[in-house]
Amino acid sequence: MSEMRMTGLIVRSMLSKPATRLYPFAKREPFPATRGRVVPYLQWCNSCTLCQMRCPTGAIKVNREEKTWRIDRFRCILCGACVSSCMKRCLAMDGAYAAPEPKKGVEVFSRPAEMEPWVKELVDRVRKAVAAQVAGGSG
Amino acid sequence: MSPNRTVIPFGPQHPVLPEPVHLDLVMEDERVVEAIPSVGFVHRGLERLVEKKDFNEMVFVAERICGICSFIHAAAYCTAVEALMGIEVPERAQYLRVFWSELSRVHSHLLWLGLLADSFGFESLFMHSWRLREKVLDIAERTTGGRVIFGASKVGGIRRDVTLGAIREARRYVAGIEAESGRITDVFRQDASVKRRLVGVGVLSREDAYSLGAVGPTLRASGVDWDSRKLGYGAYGRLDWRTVVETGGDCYARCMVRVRELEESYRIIKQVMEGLPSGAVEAKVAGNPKGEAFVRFEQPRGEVVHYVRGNGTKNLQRLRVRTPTFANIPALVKMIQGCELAAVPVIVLSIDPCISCTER
Repeated sequence: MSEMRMTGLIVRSMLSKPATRLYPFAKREPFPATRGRVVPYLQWCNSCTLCQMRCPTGAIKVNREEKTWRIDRFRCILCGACVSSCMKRCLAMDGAYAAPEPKKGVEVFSRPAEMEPWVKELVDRVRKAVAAQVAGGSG
Repeated sequence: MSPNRTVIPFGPQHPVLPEPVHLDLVMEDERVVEAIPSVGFVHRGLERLVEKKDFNEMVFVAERICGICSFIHAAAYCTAVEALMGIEVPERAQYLRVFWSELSRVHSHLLWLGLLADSFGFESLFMHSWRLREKVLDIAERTTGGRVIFGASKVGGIRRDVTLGAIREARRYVAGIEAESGRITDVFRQDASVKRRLVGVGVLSREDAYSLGAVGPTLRASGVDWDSRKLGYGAYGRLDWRTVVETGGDCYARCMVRVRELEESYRIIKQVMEGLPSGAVEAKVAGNPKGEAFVRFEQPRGEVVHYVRGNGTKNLQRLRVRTPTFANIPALVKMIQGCELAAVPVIVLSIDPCISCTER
Protein backbone atom coordinates (compact mmCIF):
# COMPACT_ATOMS: atom_id res chain seq x y z
CA MET A 1 0.00 0.00 0.00
CA SER A 2 1.24 3.43 -0.78
CA GLU A 3 1.03 4.70 2.78
CA MET A 4 3.81 2.49 4.13
CA ARG A 5 6.50 2.22 1.45
CA MET A 6 9.20 2.69 4.09
CA THR A 7 8.40 -0.61 5.83
CA GLY A 8 11.03 -2.59 3.92
CA LEU A 9 13.77 -0.07 4.72
CA ILE A 10 12.73 0.12 8.37
CA VAL A 11 12.72 -3.65 8.88
CA ARG A 12 16.12 -4.02 7.19
CA SER A 13 17.61 -1.29 9.28
CA MET A 14 16.22 -2.74 12.53
CA LEU A 15 17.66 -6.17 11.75
CA SER A 16 21.12 -5.05 10.61
CA LYS A 17 23.87 -3.48 12.67
CA PRO A 18 23.95 0.32 12.92
CA ALA A 19 25.47 2.31 10.09
CA THR A 20 27.35 4.50 12.55
CA ARG A 21 30.45 3.46 14.45
CA LEU A 22 31.09 3.82 18.19
CA TYR A 23 33.49 6.74 17.91
CA PRO A 24 35.83 7.30 19.86
CA PHE A 25 36.10 3.61 20.73
CA ALA A 26 36.06 2.58 17.07
CA LYS A 27 37.90 4.93 14.77
CA ARG A 28 37.63 5.05 11.01
CA GLU A 29 40.57 3.54 9.14
CA PRO A 30 41.66 5.80 6.29
CA PHE A 31 42.14 4.40 2.80
CA PRO A 32 45.67 4.15 1.35
CA ALA A 33 45.07 7.11 -0.94
CA THR A 34 43.51 9.36 1.70
CA ARG A 35 45.01 12.82 1.87
CA GLY A 36 45.13 13.58 5.57
CA ARG A 37 48.42 15.23 6.36
CA VAL A 38 51.70 16.19 4.72
CA VAL A 39 54.63 14.29 6.24
CA PRO A 40 58.18 15.53 5.59
CA TYR A 41 61.27 13.33 5.61
CA LEU A 42 64.01 15.86 5.22
CA GLN A 43 67.00 13.54 4.83
CA TRP A 44 67.51 14.55 1.20
CA CYS A 45 66.13 18.10 1.38
CA ASN A 46 68.33 20.80 -0.15
CA SER A 47 66.02 23.75 0.62
CA CYS A 48 65.32 24.44 -3.04
CA THR A 49 61.96 26.06 -1.94
CA LEU A 50 60.03 24.49 -4.84
CA CYS A 51 57.39 23.25 -2.37
CA GLN A 52 57.01 26.75 -0.98
CA MET A 53 56.50 28.18 -4.46
CA ARG A 54 53.94 25.56 -5.46
CA CYS A 55 51.86 25.71 -2.28
CA PRO A 56 48.64 27.52 -3.22
CA THR A 57 47.95 28.85 0.27
CA GLY A 58 51.48 29.70 1.42
CA ALA A 59 51.38 27.13 4.22
CA ILE A 60 54.99 26.00 3.69
CA LYS A 61 57.95 28.23 4.53
CA VAL A 62 61.50 27.05 3.88
CA ASN A 63 64.46 28.77 5.49
CA ARG A 64 67.78 28.11 3.74
CA GLU A 65 70.07 29.62 6.37
CA GLU A 66 68.46 27.88 9.32
CA LYS A 67 67.82 24.68 7.30
CA THR A 68 64.23 24.45 8.56
CA TRP A 69 60.94 23.53 6.93
CA ARG A 70 57.81 25.00 8.47
CA ILE A 71 54.21 24.09 7.76
CA ASP A 72 51.08 25.84 9.01
CA ARG A 73 48.68 22.92 9.32
CA PHE A 74 45.68 25.24 9.42
CA ARG A 75 46.51 26.77 6.06
CA CYS A 76 47.28 23.49 4.37
CA ILE A 77 44.43 22.41 2.08
CA LEU A 78 45.84 18.90 1.53
CA CYS A 79 46.04 19.37 -2.21
CA GLY A 80 49.34 17.50 -2.61
CA ALA A 81 50.98 20.09 -4.88
CA CYS A 82 54.07 20.13 -2.65
CA VAL A 83 54.34 16.34 -2.70
CA SER A 84 54.35 16.19 -6.48
CA SER A 85 56.73 19.12 -6.81
CA CYS A 86 59.53 17.88 -4.52
CA MET A 87 62.41 16.74 -6.75
CA LYS A 88 64.06 14.79 -3.95
CA ARG A 89 60.90 12.95 -2.88
CA CYS A 90 61.07 14.33 0.64
CA LEU A 91 57.34 14.82 1.15
CA ALA A 92 54.51 12.32 1.40
CA MET A 93 50.82 12.29 2.31
CA ASP A 94 49.39 10.00 4.87
CA GLY A 95 45.85 9.45 6.03
CA ALA A 96 45.98 10.78 9.56
CA TYR A 97 43.66 13.78 9.78
CA ALA A 98 44.85 16.57 12.07
CA ALA A 99 43.13 16.65 15.44
CA PRO A 100 41.39 19.88 16.46
CA GLU A 101 43.69 22.27 18.32
CA PRO A 102 42.85 25.07 20.75
CA LYS A 103 45.15 27.55 19.00
CA LYS A 104 46.82 27.89 15.62
CA GLY A 105 50.55 27.31 15.32
CA VAL A 106 53.26 26.39 12.89
CA GLU A 107 55.10 23.05 12.92
CA VAL A 108 58.84 23.33 12.40
CA PHE A 109 61.03 20.54 11.06
CA SER A 110 64.82 20.72 10.66
CA ARG A 111 67.07 19.17 8.11
CA PRO A 112 69.24 16.62 9.93
CA ALA A 113 72.88 17.64 10.35
CA GLU A 114 74.19 14.35 9.12
CA MET A 115 72.75 11.20 7.65
CA GLU A 116 71.10 8.62 9.87
CA PRO A 117 73.24 5.45 10.23
CA TRP A 118 70.89 3.23 8.25
CA VAL A 119 70.85 5.73 5.38
CA LYS A 120 74.64 5.98 5.48
CA GLU A 121 74.96 2.21 5.30
CA LEU A 122 72.47 1.94 2.47
CA VAL A 123 74.25 4.62 0.46
CA ASP A 124 77.61 2.88 1.10
CA ARG A 125 76.26 -0.48 -0.05
CA VAL A 126 74.78 1.03 -3.21
CA ARG A 127 78.08 2.80 -3.94
CA LYS A 128 80.02 -0.43 -3.50
CA ALA A 129 77.60 -2.38 -5.70
CA VAL A 130 77.78 0.23 -8.45
CA ALA A 131 81.58 0.32 -8.24
CA ALA A 132 81.69 -3.50 -8.48
CA GLN A 133 79.40 -3.45 -11.49
CA VAL A 134 81.47 -0.81 -13.24
CA ALA A 135 84.72 -2.68 -12.47
CA GLY A 136 83.23 -6.09 -13.50
CA GLY A 137 81.68 -4.63 -16.68
CA SER A 138 84.74 -2.84 -17.96
CA GLY A 139 87.21 -5.55 -16.85
CA MET B 1 0.66 47.76 0.07
CA SER B 2 -2.93 46.63 0.75
CA PRO B 3 -3.77 46.15 4.45
CA ASN B 4 -3.84 42.34 4.28
CA ARG B 5 -0.23 41.92 3.22
CA THR B 6 2.69 41.09 5.47
CA VAL B 7 6.33 40.50 4.62
CA ILE B 8 7.98 37.45 6.09
CA PRO B 9 11.74 36.99 5.71
CA PHE B 10 12.89 33.51 4.66
CA GLY B 11 16.57 32.82 5.24
CA PRO B 12 19.47 33.39 5.24
CA GLN B 13 19.38 31.14 8.29
CA HIS B 14 16.82 28.41 7.75
CA PRO B 15 16.95 24.74 8.68
CA VAL B 16 16.24 23.50 5.16
CA LEU B 17 18.74 25.67 3.35
CA PRO B 18 22.13 24.12 2.70
CA GLU B 19 23.50 27.59 1.97
CA PRO B 20 22.24 31.08 2.86
CA VAL B 21 19.81 32.79 0.50
CA HIS B 22 17.31 35.41 1.51
CA LEU B 23 13.77 35.75 0.21
CA ASP B 24 11.34 38.43 1.30
CA LEU B 25 7.95 36.74 1.04
CA VAL B 26 5.06 39.15 0.54
CA MET B 27 2.07 37.27 1.95
CA GLU B 28 -1.67 37.70 1.81
CA ASP B 29 -2.93 35.56 4.71
CA GLU B 30 -1.35 32.16 4.01
CA ARG B 31 -0.52 32.65 0.32
CA VAL B 32 2.67 34.05 -1.07
CA VAL B 33 2.01 36.83 -3.54
CA GLU B 34 5.56 37.80 -4.38
CA ALA B 35 9.09 36.74 -3.44
CA ILE B 36 12.03 39.14 -3.59
CA PRO B 37 15.39 37.36 -3.51
CA SER B 38 18.67 38.70 -2.11
CA VAL B 39 21.92 36.90 -2.67
CA GLY B 40 25.40 37.86 -1.52
CA PHE B 41 25.83 36.25 1.87
CA VAL B 42 28.70 34.01 0.85
CA HIS B 43 30.40 36.12 -1.76
CA ARG B 44 34.11 35.45 -1.44
CA GLY B 45 35.46 37.17 -4.53
CA LEU B 46 37.02 34.02 -5.95
CA GLU B 47 37.10 35.27 -9.52
CA ARG B 48 39.48 38.02 -8.50
CA LEU B 49 42.04 35.45 -7.37
CA VAL B 50 43.09 34.93 -10.99
CA GLU B 51 45.20 38.03 -10.56
CA LYS B 52 47.18 36.41 -7.77
CA LYS B 53 47.36 32.72 -8.66
CA ASP B 54 48.74 31.40 -11.89
CA PHE B 55 46.53 29.37 -14.20
CA ASN B 56 47.72 26.04 -12.78
CA GLU B 57 47.09 26.99 -9.17
CA MET B 58 43.68 28.38 -10.06
CA VAL B 59 42.39 24.78 -10.39
CA PHE B 60 42.50 24.49 -6.60
CA VAL B 61 40.43 27.65 -6.26
CA ALA B 62 37.93 26.51 -8.90
CA GLU B 63 37.50 23.23 -7.03
CA ARG B 64 36.61 25.08 -3.87
CA ILE B 65 33.90 27.29 -5.36
CA CYS B 66 31.39 24.75 -4.11
CA GLY B 67 31.59 21.56 -2.10
CA ILE B 68 28.97 19.53 -3.89
CA CYS B 69 29.70 20.46 -7.50
CA SER B 70 33.42 20.68 -6.78
CA PHE B 71 34.86 18.25 -9.31
CA ILE B 72 32.81 19.53 -12.24
CA HIS B 73 33.92 23.12 -11.59
CA ALA B 74 37.55 21.97 -11.69
CA ALA B 75 36.98 19.88 -14.82
CA ALA B 76 35.20 22.75 -16.58
CA TYR B 77 37.96 25.19 -15.69
CA CYS B 78 40.65 22.77 -16.87
CA THR B 79 38.75 22.14 -20.11
CA ALA B 80 38.43 25.90 -20.70
CA VAL B 81 42.16 26.47 -20.23
CA GLU B 82 42.97 23.41 -22.36
CA ALA B 83 40.74 24.77 -25.13
CA LEU B 84 42.56 28.09 -24.82
CA MET B 85 46.01 26.56 -25.06
CA GLY B 86 45.16 23.89 -27.61
CA ILE B 87 46.03 20.95 -25.34
CA GLU B 88 44.69 17.52 -26.27
CA VAL B 89 43.68 15.54 -23.18
CA PRO B 90 44.34 11.78 -23.49
CA GLU B 91 41.35 9.42 -23.61
CA ARG B 92 41.95 7.71 -20.31
CA ALA B 93 41.93 11.06 -18.55
CA GLN B 94 38.67 12.01 -20.26
CA TYR B 95 36.99 8.77 -19.23
CA LEU B 96 38.17 9.16 -15.66
CA ARG B 97 36.88 12.74 -15.60
CA VAL B 98 33.47 11.39 -16.65
CA PHE B 99 33.71 8.73 -13.94
CA TRP B 100 34.33 11.32 -11.26
CA SER B 101 31.74 13.73 -12.70
CA GLU B 102 29.05 11.08 -12.57
CA LEU B 103 30.15 10.11 -9.09
CA SER B 104 29.68 13.77 -8.15
CA ARG B 105 26.24 13.70 -9.69
CA VAL B 106 25.22 10.59 -7.73
CA HIS B 107 26.56 12.14 -4.54
CA SER B 108 24.76 15.39 -5.19
CA HIS B 109 21.41 13.82 -6.02
CA LEU B 110 21.51 11.55 -2.96
CA LEU B 111 22.31 14.56 -0.82
CA TRP B 112 19.46 16.50 -2.39
CA LEU B 113 16.98 13.65 -1.91
CA GLY B 114 17.90 13.63 1.75
CA LEU B 115 17.43 17.38 2.08
CA LEU B 116 14.10 17.24 0.28
CA ALA B 117 12.84 14.58 2.66
CA ASP B 118 14.06 16.70 5.56
CA SER B 119 12.23 19.74 4.21
CA PHE B 120 8.85 18.08 4.61
CA GLY B 121 9.80 16.44 7.88
CA PHE B 122 10.60 12.91 6.73
CA GLU B 123 13.79 12.63 8.74
CA SER B 124 14.31 8.91 8.63
CA LEU B 125 14.30 8.96 4.83
CA PHE B 126 16.80 11.84 4.99
CA MET B 127 19.10 9.70 7.15
CA HIS B 128 18.83 6.69 4.84
CA SER B 129 19.74 8.77 1.78
CA TRP B 130 22.76 10.21 3.54
CA ARG B 131 23.80 6.80 4.81
CA LEU B 132 23.95 5.68 1.20
CA ARG B 133 25.81 8.82 0.21
CA GLU B 134 28.60 7.80 2.60
CA LYS B 135 29.30 4.77 0.41
CA VAL B 136 29.65 7.03 -2.63
CA LEU B 137 32.10 9.20 -0.71
CA ASP B 138 34.06 6.04 0.14
CA ILE B 139 34.53 5.31 -3.57
CA ALA B 140 35.69 8.88 -4.08
CA GLU B 141 38.13 8.67 -1.21
CA ARG B 142 39.54 5.37 -2.38
CA THR B 143 40.20 6.63 -5.90
CA THR B 144 41.16 10.25 -5.28
CA GLY B 145 42.09 10.67 -1.64
CA GLY B 146 39.40 13.20 -0.79
CA ARG B 147 35.76 12.66 0.12
CA VAL B 148 34.25 15.86 -1.19
CA ILE B 149 37.08 17.90 -2.71
CA PHE B 150 38.68 15.37 -5.04
CA GLY B 151 41.83 17.25 -6.06
CA ALA B 152 41.93 15.07 -9.15
CA SER B 153 41.96 17.54 -12.04
CA LYS B 154 44.78 19.55 -13.46
CA VAL B 155 45.33 21.43 -16.69
CA GLY B 156 46.30 18.77 -19.20
CA GLY B 157 44.59 15.78 -17.63
CA ILE B 158 44.24 14.34 -14.17
CA ARG B 159 46.65 14.27 -11.28
CA ARG B 160 46.62 10.63 -10.34
CA ASP B 161 45.81 7.42 -12.11
CA VAL B 162 43.40 4.79 -10.80
CA THR B 163 44.65 1.23 -10.44
CA LEU B 164 42.83 -1.81 -11.73
CA GLY B 165 42.23 -2.98 -8.17
CA ALA B 166 40.52 0.29 -7.32
CA ILE B 167 38.28 -0.02 -10.40
CA ARG B 168 37.25 -3.53 -9.42
CA GLU B 169 36.43 -2.42 -5.92
CA ALA B 170 34.49 0.57 -7.23
CA ARG B 171 32.48 -1.76 -9.44
CA ARG B 172 31.45 -3.86 -6.43
CA TYR B 173 30.56 -0.78 -4.44
CA VAL B 174 28.45 0.64 -7.28
CA ALA B 175 26.46 -2.57 -7.59
CA GLY B 176 25.65 -2.41 -3.87
CA ILE B 177 24.79 1.28 -4.05
CA GLU B 178 22.47 0.77 -7.00
CA ALA B 179 20.45 -1.90 -5.19
CA GLU B 180 20.10 0.15 -2.03
CA SER B 181 19.31 3.28 -3.99
CA GLY B 182 16.42 1.48 -5.67
CA ARG B 183 14.87 0.80 -2.26
CA ILE B 184 15.23 4.39 -1.13
CA THR B 185 13.97 6.01 -4.33
CA ASP B 186 10.98 3.67 -4.29
CA VAL B 187 9.76 5.59 -1.24
CA PHE B 188 10.11 8.90 -3.08
CA ARG B 189 8.27 7.54 -6.08
CA GLN B 190 5.34 5.87 -4.40
CA ASP B 191 4.79 6.94 -0.82
CA ALA B 192 1.47 8.72 -0.39
CA SER B 193 2.67 11.22 2.20
CA VAL B 194 5.60 12.24 0.00
CA LYS B 195 3.29 12.69 -2.95
CA ARG B 196 0.87 14.81 -0.92
CA ARG B 197 3.67 17.29 -0.25
CA LEU B 198 5.17 17.30 -3.73
CA VAL B 199 2.47 16.80 -6.37
CA GLY B 200 1.02 20.02 -7.71
CA VAL B 201 3.34 22.20 -5.63
CA GLY B 202 5.36 24.93 -7.33
CA VAL B 203 4.26 24.34 -10.90
CA LEU B 204 6.45 25.83 -13.63
CA SER B 205 5.00 25.69 -17.12
CA ARG B 206 7.08 24.78 -20.13
CA GLU B 207 6.94 28.27 -21.63
CA ASP B 208 7.94 29.90 -18.35
CA ALA B 209 10.80 27.48 -17.81
CA TYR B 210 12.18 28.19 -21.27
CA SER B 211 11.69 31.97 -21.28
CA LEU B 212 13.00 32.51 -17.74
CA GLY B 213 16.20 30.65 -18.59
CA ALA B 214 15.88 27.75 -16.19
CA VAL B 215 18.54 25.05 -16.51
CA GLY B 216 19.13 21.50 -15.43
CA PRO B 217 16.49 19.35 -13.75
CA THR B 218 14.29 22.42 -13.22
CA LEU B 219 14.08 22.79 -17.01
CA ARG B 220 13.83 19.10 -17.78
CA ALA B 221 10.98 18.59 -15.30
CA SER B 222 8.88 21.08 -17.25
CA GLY B 223 9.20 19.15 -20.46
CA VAL B 224 12.14 20.82 -22.22
CA ASP B 225 14.63 18.25 -23.43
CA TRP B 226 18.04 19.88 -22.92
CA ASP B 227 21.04 18.47 -21.11
CA SER B 228 24.46 20.07 -21.60
CA ARG B 229 26.08 16.67 -21.76
CA LYS B 230 24.52 16.38 -25.21
CA LEU B 231 27.25 18.74 -26.41
CA GLY B 232 29.47 15.67 -26.29
CA TYR B 233 32.39 17.11 -24.31
CA GLY B 234 34.84 14.75 -22.68
CA ALA B 235 33.83 11.15 -23.22
CA TYR B 236 30.07 11.78 -23.19
CA GLY B 237 29.92 11.67 -26.96
CA ARG B 238 31.19 8.10 -26.93
CA LEU B 239 28.98 6.69 -24.18
CA ASP B 240 25.41 5.47 -24.42
CA TRP B 241 23.09 7.50 -22.21
CA ARG B 242 19.72 9.26 -22.41
CA THR B 243 18.44 12.57 -21.11
CA VAL B 244 15.67 12.40 -18.54
CA VAL B 245 12.56 14.51 -19.13
CA GLU B 246 9.32 14.80 -17.17
CA THR B 247 6.30 16.91 -18.03
CA GLY B 248 4.64 17.66 -14.68
CA GLY B 249 6.57 20.84 -13.89
CA ASP B 250 5.86 20.47 -10.17
CA CYS B 251 8.15 19.47 -7.30
CA TYR B 252 7.29 15.81 -7.83
CA ALA B 253 8.45 16.01 -11.44
CA ARG B 254 11.72 17.63 -10.36
CA CYS B 255 12.19 14.86 -7.81
CA MET B 256 11.52 12.20 -10.45
CA VAL B 257 13.99 13.77 -12.87
CA ARG B 258 16.72 13.53 -10.27
CA VAL B 259 15.78 9.99 -9.27
CA ARG B 260 15.90 8.84 -12.90
CA GLU B 261 19.14 10.74 -13.45
CA LEU B 262 20.61 8.73 -10.58
CA GLU B 263 19.79 5.55 -12.46
CA GLU B 264 21.25 6.97 -15.70
CA SER B 265 24.42 7.91 -13.81
CA TYR B 266 24.87 4.37 -12.53
CA ARG B 267 24.67 3.14 -16.13
CA ILE B 268 27.25 5.69 -17.26
CA ILE B 269 29.61 4.81 -14.41
CA LYS B 270 29.39 1.12 -15.24
CA GLN B 271 30.08 1.82 -18.92
CA VAL B 272 33.14 3.90 -18.01
CA MET B 273 34.52 1.25 -15.69
CA GLU B 274 34.07 -1.46 -18.28
CA GLY B 275 35.43 0.45 -21.22
CA LEU B 276 38.26 2.41 -19.58
CA PRO B 277 41.02 2.82 -22.18
CA SER B 278 44.64 2.44 -21.19
CA GLY B 279 47.29 5.04 -21.77
CA ALA B 280 48.61 8.26 -20.33
CA VAL B 281 46.59 10.40 -17.99
CA GLU B 282 48.13 13.78 -18.68
CA ALA B 283 49.33 15.89 -21.56
CA LYS B 284 52.29 18.25 -21.56
CA VAL B 285 51.46 21.86 -20.75
CA ALA B 286 53.82 24.43 -22.24
CA GLY B 287 53.52 28.16 -22.55
CA ASN B 288 50.94 30.58 -21.26
CA PRO B 289 47.25 30.96 -22.10
CA LYS B 290 46.30 33.62 -24.61
CA GLY B 291 42.89 34.31 -26.11
CA GLU B 292 39.35 33.50 -24.98
CA ALA B 293 37.54 30.23 -24.33
CA PHE B 294 34.05 29.34 -23.26
CA VAL B 295 32.84 25.91 -22.09
CA ARG B 296 29.50 24.62 -20.87
CA PHE B 297 29.29 21.61 -18.58
CA GLU B 298 26.37 19.84 -16.96
CA GLN B 299 26.54 20.03 -13.20
CA PRO B 300 24.03 18.19 -11.04
CA ARG B 301 22.08 21.45 -10.83
CA GLY B 302 22.19 22.44 -14.46
CA GLU B 303 24.42 24.07 -17.01
CA VAL B 304 27.54 25.84 -15.77
CA VAL B 305 29.49 28.16 -18.02
CA HIS B 306 33.20 28.85 -17.56
CA TYR B 307 34.73 31.70 -19.51
CA VAL B 308 38.48 32.33 -19.41
CA ARG B 309 40.57 35.02 -21.03
CA GLY B 310 44.34 34.99 -21.08
CA ASN B 311 46.78 37.63 -22.22
CA GLY B 312 49.99 35.65 -22.57
CA THR B 313 51.15 35.87 -18.96
CA LYS B 314 50.91 33.05 -16.48
CA ASN B 315 47.96 34.74 -14.71
CA LEU B 316 44.66 34.66 -16.53
CA GLN B 317 43.12 38.03 -17.20
CA ARG B 318 39.53 37.01 -16.41
CA LEU B 319 37.60 34.01 -15.15
CA ARG B 320 33.85 34.20 -15.21
CA VAL B 321 31.63 31.41 -13.93
CA ARG B 322 27.88 31.44 -14.55
CA THR B 323 26.41 28.82 -12.27
CA PRO B 324 23.09 26.98 -12.71
CA THR B 325 21.44 28.18 -9.51
CA PHE B 326 21.88 31.78 -10.62
CA ALA B 327 19.92 30.95 -13.76
CA ASN B 328 17.23 29.14 -11.76
CA ILE B 329 16.47 31.96 -9.33
CA PRO B 330 14.05 33.82 -11.68
CA ALA B 331 12.24 30.52 -12.21
CA LEU B 332 12.12 30.05 -8.44
CA VAL B 333 10.55 33.47 -7.94
CA LYS B 334 7.87 32.59 -10.51
CA MET B 335 7.19 29.17 -8.96
CA ILE B 336 6.70 30.54 -5.47
CA GLN B 337 3.91 32.96 -6.44
CA GLY B 338 0.60 31.61 -5.27
CA CYS B 339 1.84 28.85 -2.99
CA GLU B 340 1.23 28.40 0.73
CA LEU B 341 3.81 29.36 3.31
CA ALA B 342 4.44 25.75 4.30
CA ALA B 343 5.33 24.87 0.71
CA VAL B 344 8.03 27.55 0.43
CA PRO B 345 10.90 25.44 1.84
CA VAL B 346 9.97 22.54 -0.43
CA ILE B 347 9.89 24.75 -3.53
CA VAL B 348 13.15 26.52 -2.69
CA LEU B 349 14.82 23.17 -2.24
CA SER B 350 13.36 21.73 -5.40
CA ILE B 351 15.60 23.85 -7.61
CA ASP B 352 18.57 22.44 -5.62
CA PRO B 353 20.01 25.79 -4.58
CA CYS B 354 23.79 25.92 -4.39
CA ILE B 355 24.33 29.46 -3.26
CA SER B 356 28.07 29.18 -2.73
CA CYS B 357 28.32 28.47 -6.46
CA THR B 358 25.98 31.35 -7.24
CA GLU B 359 28.01 33.88 -5.38
CA ARG B 360 31.55 32.51 -5.55
